[in-house]
Amino acid sequence: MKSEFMKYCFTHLKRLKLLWVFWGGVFIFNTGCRGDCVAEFENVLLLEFRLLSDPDSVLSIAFDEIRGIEGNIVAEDPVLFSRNDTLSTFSLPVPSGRDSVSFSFVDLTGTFGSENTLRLKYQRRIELLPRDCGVQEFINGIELLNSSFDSVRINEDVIQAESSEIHVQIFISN
Amino acid sequence: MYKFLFLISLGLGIAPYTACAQVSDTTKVPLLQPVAGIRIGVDAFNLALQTVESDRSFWSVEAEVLLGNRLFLAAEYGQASVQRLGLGYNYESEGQFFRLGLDYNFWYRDKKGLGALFTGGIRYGLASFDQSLFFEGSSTYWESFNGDIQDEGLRAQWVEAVFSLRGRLFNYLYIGPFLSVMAQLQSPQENLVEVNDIPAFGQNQALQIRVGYSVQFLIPFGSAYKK
Repeated sequence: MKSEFMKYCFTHLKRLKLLWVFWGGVFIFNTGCRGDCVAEFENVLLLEFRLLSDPDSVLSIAFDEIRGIEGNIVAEDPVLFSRNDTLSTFSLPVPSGRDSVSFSFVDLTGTFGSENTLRLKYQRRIELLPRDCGVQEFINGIELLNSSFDSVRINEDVIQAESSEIHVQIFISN
Repeated sequence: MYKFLFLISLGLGIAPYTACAQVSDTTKVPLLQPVAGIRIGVDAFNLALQTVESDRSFWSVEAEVLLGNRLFLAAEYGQASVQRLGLGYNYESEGQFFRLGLDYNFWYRDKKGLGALFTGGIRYGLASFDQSLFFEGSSTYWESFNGDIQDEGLRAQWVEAVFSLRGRLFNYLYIGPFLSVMAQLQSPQENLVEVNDIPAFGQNQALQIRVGYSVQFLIPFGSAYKK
């Protein structure tokens, strides 16, 4: 009786190879798919300036003041960049919980006009990071609302962590 | 090798194999037979899991209409919620779900319903749920944002391939593990907050695997099932 019982069971189990593959899959799924936390990142817009007459070369440029406008600023110094910062790429922080952002560019020399503004809008998507590591706001669909610069081009409309892709290219006439 | 696997399976559910001692016969069993009974039960594994994981709650009732001993019409209804709490955020997803499908019993040659069941089947699943997220967006420059976002009336649909091993523990009590592979048919609607958890499906991704342990009671109709 006992051997008959075992024979019966093994006959069936031989047909069930796929089931064991699934149980193995569950084991791997539960033990092998865990990793480290993905760190949250602050959304930052990357800007560069180019000449209208020579759009292929990026300018190293300085303003008397670049600052955020039309929003509450908590930083001790609201000025993001000053005349001392001659840069080819400007990193501008994007606020959380809003669908638009505005910046003011002051140039007292008047080379690019005394004050210019740049207003951008975008879409947000909020995701929980894997393994309960936090919440990340993802920015995409960046569009120009308005600007007093000569010409503005959205080069990349998505902000990604650790990406050096320039989002906004500003073309000036001088 | 098979002995080893068999011993492992004993750990997963002794009862399914107690009935293996029944000798099969070779008489032809029609695929569709008159309704012979109904099995009603719960997913004991997921019920028990919530005692370990206090941030989730789950209950469901599953029923199986026995169209003879080869085909079973299966249905499940339940409610589930999950909370994910972290530094600066609190996410909750809560809703109800149902599953509907068919199971085929590969071990139908055992005496009608008295022996072990090895079933493979398909399910259609639908969840209707709400989610909420409170979070503090941080910025070193702009004022921090405290968001409290609610999304209601979300839906998700999926299909499942389900495999289960069950056996009779007492006269009409069936227990045993099951495994299901789920694939989303329809993702939840696009919202400001990406859906993270879908009731009964799990984390919002294309494929999911679910395991559980059924405890079911058989209500026989007529004299098809004898002690």
